[in-house]
Amino acid sequence: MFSGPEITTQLVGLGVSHVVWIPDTTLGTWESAFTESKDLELVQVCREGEAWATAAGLWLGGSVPIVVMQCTGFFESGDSLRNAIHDYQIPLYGLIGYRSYLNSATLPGDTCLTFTEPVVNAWNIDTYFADKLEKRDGGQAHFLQCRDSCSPGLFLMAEGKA
Amino acid sequence: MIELPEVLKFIQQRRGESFVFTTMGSAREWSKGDVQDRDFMYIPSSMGQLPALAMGFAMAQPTQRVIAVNGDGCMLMNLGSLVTISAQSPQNLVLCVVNNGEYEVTGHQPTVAHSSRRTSNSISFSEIAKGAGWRSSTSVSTIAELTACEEILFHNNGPHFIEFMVKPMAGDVAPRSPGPAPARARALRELGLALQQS
Repeated sequence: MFSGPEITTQLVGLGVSHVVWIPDTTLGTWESAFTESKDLELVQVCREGEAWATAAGLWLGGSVPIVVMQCTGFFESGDSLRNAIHDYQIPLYGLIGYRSYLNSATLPGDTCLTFTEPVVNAWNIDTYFADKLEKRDGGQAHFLQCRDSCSPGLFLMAEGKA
Repeated sequence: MIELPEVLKFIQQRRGESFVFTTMGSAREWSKGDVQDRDFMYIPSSMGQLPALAMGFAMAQPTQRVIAVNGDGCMLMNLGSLVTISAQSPQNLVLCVVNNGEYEVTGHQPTVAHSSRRTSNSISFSEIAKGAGWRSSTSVSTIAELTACEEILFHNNGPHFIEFMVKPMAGDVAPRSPGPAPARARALRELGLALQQS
């Protein structure tokens, strides 16, 4: 949906200081653009729960982080997200890759297709779903809307080959 | 072994302008001392996430000393954070683990790292941190060793890992929230922003 340079340009334009992430096969293609950027610091963690806590610490210290992970990691990281976003009301923003969404006809057995949207909805976070290429740039306005209202937000990005 | 309050009192008396992050039992005991604006008692917590939280803060505030006091049960829940921190290598971060071998606040059950749960010796967190590539890692079990840690705790470039072998506290030792979590987060953010602009 985005090339590495495209997403890097958008994040820098939005004032993001740190990308806290674990890559997947789609998100991982952005790594070289992230690491080459002089305006973004890439923070790779070992497990996704760490990502929300690291981002929370960055935010507490005055930075503007974004969390980037696949939906499978989002499933794993729920308690950390709950604590940062709901207990402390830290307005973190996450970009979540929706595995197999664009391959749903050819990979119908991936249970990410069953659980991603219900799990995302369960966390009660304002979410923008870019389910097709034409909707991808709406994420910038959603990020700014969340920033201006000091609210957490998610950009759910369809992944796959279609 | 030493007492947890002795460790915390040592830090409180010498911390200067350091930011101090505590959680679970360390937060409970820290709140009995001289609490300052630069303290963040991480209650309620997502157990295991204090090292990541403190690392993020240390990265955002690279000129400020950041001391995190974690528990051994908490550390077991997120051992990967030791590798994450050594990769980022924030020089201003000190991670302390107060190791009493048990889940104190849930009723004193031994952790799986405790010798009673194992057929071999108990686990050394300081050795794990060494293997994870920390700049320095040490284990402290006496007052003399605690005193010898002063430079590492407050002055030397890190990141440093210190394991304090402490005695469990007796009785009902559940931590209490030090106040509304969102307000405490906003206050720390405002302080962080002010420091970035100064």
